[in-house]
Amino acid sequence: MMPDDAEQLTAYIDGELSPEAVQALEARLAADPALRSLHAQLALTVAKVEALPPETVAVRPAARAAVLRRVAEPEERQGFFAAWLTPRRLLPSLGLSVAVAIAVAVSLRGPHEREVDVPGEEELQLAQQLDVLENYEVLGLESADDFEVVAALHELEATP
Amino acid sequence: MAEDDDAALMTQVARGDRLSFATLFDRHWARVVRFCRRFTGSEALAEEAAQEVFVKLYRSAGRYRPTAKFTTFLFRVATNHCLNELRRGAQAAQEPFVPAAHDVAPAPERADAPLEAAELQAAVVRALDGMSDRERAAFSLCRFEGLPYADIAQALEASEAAVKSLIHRATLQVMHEVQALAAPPLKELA
Repeated sequence: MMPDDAEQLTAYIDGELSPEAVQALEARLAADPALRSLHAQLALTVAKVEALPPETVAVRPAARAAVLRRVAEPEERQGFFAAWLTPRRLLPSLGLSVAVAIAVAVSLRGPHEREVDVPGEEELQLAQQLDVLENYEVLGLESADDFEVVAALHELEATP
Repeated sequence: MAEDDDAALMTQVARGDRLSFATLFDRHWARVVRFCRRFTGSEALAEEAAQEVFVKLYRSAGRYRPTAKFTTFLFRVATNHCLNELRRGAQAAQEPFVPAAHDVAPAPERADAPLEAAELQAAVVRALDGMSDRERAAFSLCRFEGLPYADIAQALEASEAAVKSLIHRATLQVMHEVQALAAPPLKELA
């Protein structure tokens, strides 16, 4: 039996060989008992399989309705949104959106718009008193005369 | 001729005619489910896959040319869909398809026919399970849907020589399973 002969047998059984190929194969079948045996087994198998009744399939109205409903939807809506509404695409998109939002917010709050804290009168007085206390601390208060020294120092600082 | 009529309906579908689509759905739903069932090996996946096949059929109607047979186009869509599903690993190994008893109606003249038919069906299912995806597709289209080799080649986007080889290898696998049915188990011989 030639290697191609076996393959030819199935096509022969299925009626798929050209007349020339049929003639050549039949000549080999007549001369080769092993090929005849394989042919008989294959033919029996094909006959048995094709004699099986078709499996029944229940037509479910719900399946029909589902398909007809889906084809009635605009393709753009299905195709575009179905493609984008997946976690794989949503998560990076969300991250990118947040990054862009932060960048825009930072750029809008530029240095020219920063609020400048202008101290009030009470705060200025408090600062001066703290300054005096600091001088006391630096100089060290050992006697009442030291108050006069500190006061003199402040008068000198205030003099332009 | 039904094939010409299907082609005409498909041309209407390409123009957005959903009534023609519904007619095609009713005509071919059962065979597409059967094909998907054999291909995926799953009862549950089969109906879901068949629904997707019909939606894709509608969406791709614009690419259909009436010079091609409608069934070839339909099974091309079905084969591509099932192959993609299997590649995604959607094969339901946990739920192998076992044909129901009523699916294999017996020949009335023989008392042992129901058992024989059920056993034969089971042997075919086992063989299908052992085939490659393309062998399974080619075998199903040939033996159960009655498509000629040339149409199967178009549906699988393969050469006729490749289809001949696929069908032969698949038929050999079925033959071995059927022969195993005829040989009694060793323990029965003892």
